[in-house]
Amino acid sequence: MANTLRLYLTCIRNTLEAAMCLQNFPCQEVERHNKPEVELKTSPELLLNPVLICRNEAEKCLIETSINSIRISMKVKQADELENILAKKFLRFLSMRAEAFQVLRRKPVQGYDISFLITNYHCEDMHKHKLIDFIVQFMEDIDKEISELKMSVNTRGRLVATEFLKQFI
Amino acid sequence: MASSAAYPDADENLEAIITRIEQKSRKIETLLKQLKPVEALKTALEGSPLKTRDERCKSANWIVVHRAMMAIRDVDAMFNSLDPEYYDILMKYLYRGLSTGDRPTCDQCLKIHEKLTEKAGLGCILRSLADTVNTV
Amino acid sequence: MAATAAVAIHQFAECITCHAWSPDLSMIAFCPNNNEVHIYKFFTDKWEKLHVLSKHDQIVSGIDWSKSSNKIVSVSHDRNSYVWTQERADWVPTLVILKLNRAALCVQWSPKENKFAVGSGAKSVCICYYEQENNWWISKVIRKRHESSVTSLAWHPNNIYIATTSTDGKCRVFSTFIKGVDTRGSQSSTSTDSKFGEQIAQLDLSSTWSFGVKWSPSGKTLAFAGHNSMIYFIDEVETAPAAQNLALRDLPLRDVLFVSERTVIGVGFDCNPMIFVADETGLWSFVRFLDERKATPSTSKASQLSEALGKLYGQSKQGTSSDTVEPSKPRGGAHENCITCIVPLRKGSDGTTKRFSTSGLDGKIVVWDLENDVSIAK
Repeated sequence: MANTLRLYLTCIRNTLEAAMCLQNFPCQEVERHNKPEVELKTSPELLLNPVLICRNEAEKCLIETSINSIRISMKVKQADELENILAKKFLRFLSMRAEAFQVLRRKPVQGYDISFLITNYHCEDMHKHKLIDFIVQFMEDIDKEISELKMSVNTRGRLVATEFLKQFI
Repeated sequence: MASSAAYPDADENLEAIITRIEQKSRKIETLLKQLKPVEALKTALEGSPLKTRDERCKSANWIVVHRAMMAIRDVDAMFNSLDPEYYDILMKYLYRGLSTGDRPTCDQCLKIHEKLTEKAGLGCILRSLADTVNTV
Repeated sequence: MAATAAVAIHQFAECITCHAWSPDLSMIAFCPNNNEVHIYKFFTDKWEKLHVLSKHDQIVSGIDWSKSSNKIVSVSHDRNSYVWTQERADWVPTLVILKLNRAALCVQWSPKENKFAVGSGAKSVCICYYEQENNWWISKVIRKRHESSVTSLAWHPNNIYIATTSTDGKCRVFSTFIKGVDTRGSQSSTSTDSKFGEQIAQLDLSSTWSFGVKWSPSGKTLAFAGHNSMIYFIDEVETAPAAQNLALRDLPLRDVLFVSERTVIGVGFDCNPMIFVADETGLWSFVRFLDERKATPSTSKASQLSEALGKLYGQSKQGTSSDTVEPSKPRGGAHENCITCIVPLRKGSDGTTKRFSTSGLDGKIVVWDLENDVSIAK
């Protein structure tokens, strides 16, 4: 299991290394504008083939590349109702603090749990390998984080139930 | 594309392409029975309909490639006998496989993807991402 | 192993979009990723800022400094171009009306320096020339040929032909013959028979964005790079184009430079110049990277990202490295980010370029000397 996670993350890392070759590119449609082409999608020739990397049916990562920006969207594993709720809440919590992360998209792309938007400006300010490390680390941590949350919810539930049932003894 | 030049241009009609893929499929079954998975994979990759926009042709060829790819047991041994001219086209099919979400397919593709990137470099991934004309 | 090829490295800014050298190579003009052009001069032991040319109001995308007339031309995403002339201590701008409605992306003086060309996001190329009687720069536009932005241009040594690359993937060659500026019959070739804007060749080789077009010193060979990590070499462009496609193992190139008829340096996202050489039969191949890669210990420079992550997770989580995936290592070369621009400096007695400079998104300008490099300076 751990091995397929490693292969999955390596594949995403390698694909990102290749895809993240961005440059400053002014808008062809509107004068004096400079916007992420991957969001506008007005000039199809400025987009590369989008790539979907799946680990299984539940966990996948969509990488969309354009000349000046790249969008990475993820679907996180959600085995049951509780994980589903936790993932939603946790990722919403992060999305609301998107500006702290710079590369986090405020709203995930439809069908995904969380999206990142990296532009040429990020690549000018930050080291490319650090950006990729961050994304990969994030994907690795998110599973752990949700498992931990699930555990603590269960522990609390058990504690509350025990306390509640004590009165009947 | 250096690799696509070796393949026939898909101006031929769709029926001809399908017939060709069916022939390939039979040949691959024979090769697999003879325990020649790498030969089978080469056969599957050769003459892939890259230029056509017809999904039926592309899917038909993908089924054939998938059949050969899943038969590979030893990835390292495969790369010892797979020539570099197949790298770019194999990378394209790996990304197709990775997008299916089918667990055994994804596991196999992830395994090959790691080795192929080591062999062929990031340039190979870029040729797969950037080639919007010759798709699989 | 030969001595290192990088002879001088200077950090001028956070990020540099393009640069150009003065005719005597004592001064350098570059754009520090904003609307200004900075001019530095080298005094005995250090670089000093002499001028800041600030007339543009958006990022400057191209600078070229003419060798004989000592004029600087700059273009910007603000759609304008200025020709700067030195009057005593100051640089005086002249606005050139390009008639563009989108950003200007690249600029180059013609070999005779009586014209310059501008590539633009308006899917067109402007050829500009000076009209003495009106004391004014005129722009003539080549329209309707490019299907996307023009990313780079290169003048043929005949001063008439210009090659362009575009994000539509094609490389094209046009005639820029302008009556009254260029003279007919002065050249032996057929180049002077063509009309302005006539397309001489269209090379449909790359299936994706193409960049960094250059002619060889004689004008016999053309080279450009594709974003699919390919480099293309084309002979006999005018008559029967014969192309060689070379697939790279590594990340794509952004710009190329012919240092001689048979040697090309390519720069780009790999942050390390690549050397390509043609053998006696004219067959091109990748030789090696120019910069020796040193394995440097990972820099402690924490990115803004990891700080942000630390804030959110609380400090306890920071610095926990992953066990499953090894973090990628920083590159230990002269450049630390994508190289976007390569400029020739000194020519040897045999007409080959011995020195050139590169600049990139890491804000450094690096001077490379090929004579230090035994393996190429045969």
